[in-house]
Amino acid sequence: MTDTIARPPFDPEIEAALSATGGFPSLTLDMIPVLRGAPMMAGPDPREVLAERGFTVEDVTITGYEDAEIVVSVIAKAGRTGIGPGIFHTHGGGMILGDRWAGVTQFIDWAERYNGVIVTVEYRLAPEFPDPFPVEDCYAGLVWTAANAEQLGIDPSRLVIGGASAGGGLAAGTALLARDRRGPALAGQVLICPMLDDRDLTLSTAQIDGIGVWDRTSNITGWTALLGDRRGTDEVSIYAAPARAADLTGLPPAYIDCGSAEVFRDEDVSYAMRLWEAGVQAELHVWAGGFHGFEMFAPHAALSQAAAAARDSWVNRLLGA
Amino acid sequence: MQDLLGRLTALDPDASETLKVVSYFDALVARSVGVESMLRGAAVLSGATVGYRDDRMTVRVRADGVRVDPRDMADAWPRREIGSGVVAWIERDGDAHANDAMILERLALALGIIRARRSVGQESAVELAISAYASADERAGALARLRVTDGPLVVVASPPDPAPAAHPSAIVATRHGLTRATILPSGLDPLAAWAQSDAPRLGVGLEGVPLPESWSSALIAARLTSTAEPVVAAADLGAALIVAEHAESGTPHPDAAALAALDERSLELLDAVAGEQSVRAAAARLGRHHSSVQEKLATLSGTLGYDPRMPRGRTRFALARMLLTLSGWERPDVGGTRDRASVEPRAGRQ
Repeated sequence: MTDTIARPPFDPEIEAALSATGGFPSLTLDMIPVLRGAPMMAGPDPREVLAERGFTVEDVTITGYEDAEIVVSVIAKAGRTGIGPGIFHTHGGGMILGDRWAGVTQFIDWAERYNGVIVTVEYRLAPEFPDPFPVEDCYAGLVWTAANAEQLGIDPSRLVIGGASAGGGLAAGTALLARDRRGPALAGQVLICPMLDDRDLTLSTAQIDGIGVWDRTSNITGWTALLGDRRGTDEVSIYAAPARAADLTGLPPAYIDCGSAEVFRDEDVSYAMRLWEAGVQAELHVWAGGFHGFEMFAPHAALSQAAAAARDSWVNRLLGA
Repeated sequence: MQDLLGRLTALDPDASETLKVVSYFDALVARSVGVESMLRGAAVLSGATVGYRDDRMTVRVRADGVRVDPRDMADAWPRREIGSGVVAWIERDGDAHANDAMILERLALALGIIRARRSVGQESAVELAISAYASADERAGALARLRVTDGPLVVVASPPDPAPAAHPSAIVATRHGLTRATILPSGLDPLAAWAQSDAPRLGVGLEGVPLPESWSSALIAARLTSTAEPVVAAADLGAALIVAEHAESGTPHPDAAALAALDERSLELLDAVAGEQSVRAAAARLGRHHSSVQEKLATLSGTLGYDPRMPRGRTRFALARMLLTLSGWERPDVGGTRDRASVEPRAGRQ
């Protein structure tokens, strides 16, 4: 059945990049140890990029979920003075992979332009630390950031959360936690191809099965690692899977993007629509022919340049002024 | 910026760099991307700015995939010709990188394929639209590319020069030589498609039939044009068109062959008799005495085996005469009264 289901074609340029790498495998739980040993994304080490761009990094150990110690990194231009926006980053990697450096370079332009500070959190990964460890660690990092805003030179009225993929899902979940616990006020949430729904019920998950990047099997693997037997049942919280949240009122303005040829398309589009229903400001971009994470995979492609420019435009409207 | 090849190699150290470059461009060719996407591929694979110049434009794309201002290439840069006046280059200052030559080669190959595909312009679309060998879908696609209206169309055949002012038109090689095919909306006066001063002789194809049929009938009509009748519509031929079409593929009909064997003066005489409806009028036109015309006609009737003055003989002669004209057997420019259609072969027939 899945062999014959129609799907949007991939954009030619990103497809070329994908084919040149021999494709992206469907991930299963047994592959996790091997994958953690390999670089998640090809490209220069983010820490080297930060150093080249004149950013300094300070690691701070803070208290995470259940009083465990976790690390956050505070990233700012060397010799920075004054105050500016804070960008709290939750990294991607399907809840099972990656570290706080993964994808952080997507935010350094903004930190540079607005004299901002990036705080990126090393939340603990599933399956060793299943839900609610990841999202609670992220929330702890956000609370620490807001509590130390003055010391960090962050304007508390301009604190933005952002992340890609699982990091987008964690950002959305953390924003829900912050709303429900009356925690830090957020000025915006940047949800880049976010992973929001554990239920595996959308058309887009059926379309992206055994093809593209982060296909249906990989997605089930990620959610199963996070939720175990609870995956797809009523026992899953809205903070783990924000797509389940019935009430999206009172959330900060959202930027949501995704590709038209990725598992997360339908849950991301649906989340944007329900934010609008709830009276929340949201901007949605669905990039034609994009597979999951195409920007990181092929940053040179015209599609990736357009996606980055659109996100940049939104942040300029949010933080520029 | 680190080149894509390096990053791809980090992801998959086992696959060769050549394979990655080849598969990258193959994927782009398979999807028929444009020049800029091709250049972007080469730029990110090589980690250098890549440029391209043809007769219309210069395009440069930086190693991070961003298009930059056109600038001409420096002599020192590695380059590759793609066609006449078309060149691509890698803006590599200093020593060439190991993969530059291979990337440039694959880029040139890919651009060559894309250029060939895209040069399917108006001319070949016209040819496709009237081709009996193209499928209905192909013909519809060609018409769509030509952006002609949905209404009924007709094909007009004319000499290669001059070209019509505005309508889709192409010079097509036919078994009767190079002929211009022009697609016009039905109902439009075909002569109006050309500037008044240089309207050529026109064979107007049938209307309300598929374009390949309209074209084949136009070719017949064009070959029947003359100074006296510069525009011939296939529809006006009536049932004679069926005879003409049938004769196209077969061996020459004996009646036509018999006319071909006659001398110029005899043919002239027969034409005059057929045209004037009486021996007396024919004799006047020819400037000969009517009794000698009468005498000659009797001899010719014997040679031909029918009397062109009798009703059946008249039809027989008319058809044979048409087939003779279509066959192109007549020698050109003899006598001056019979003028060969100018669409008839200029070079030798196949």
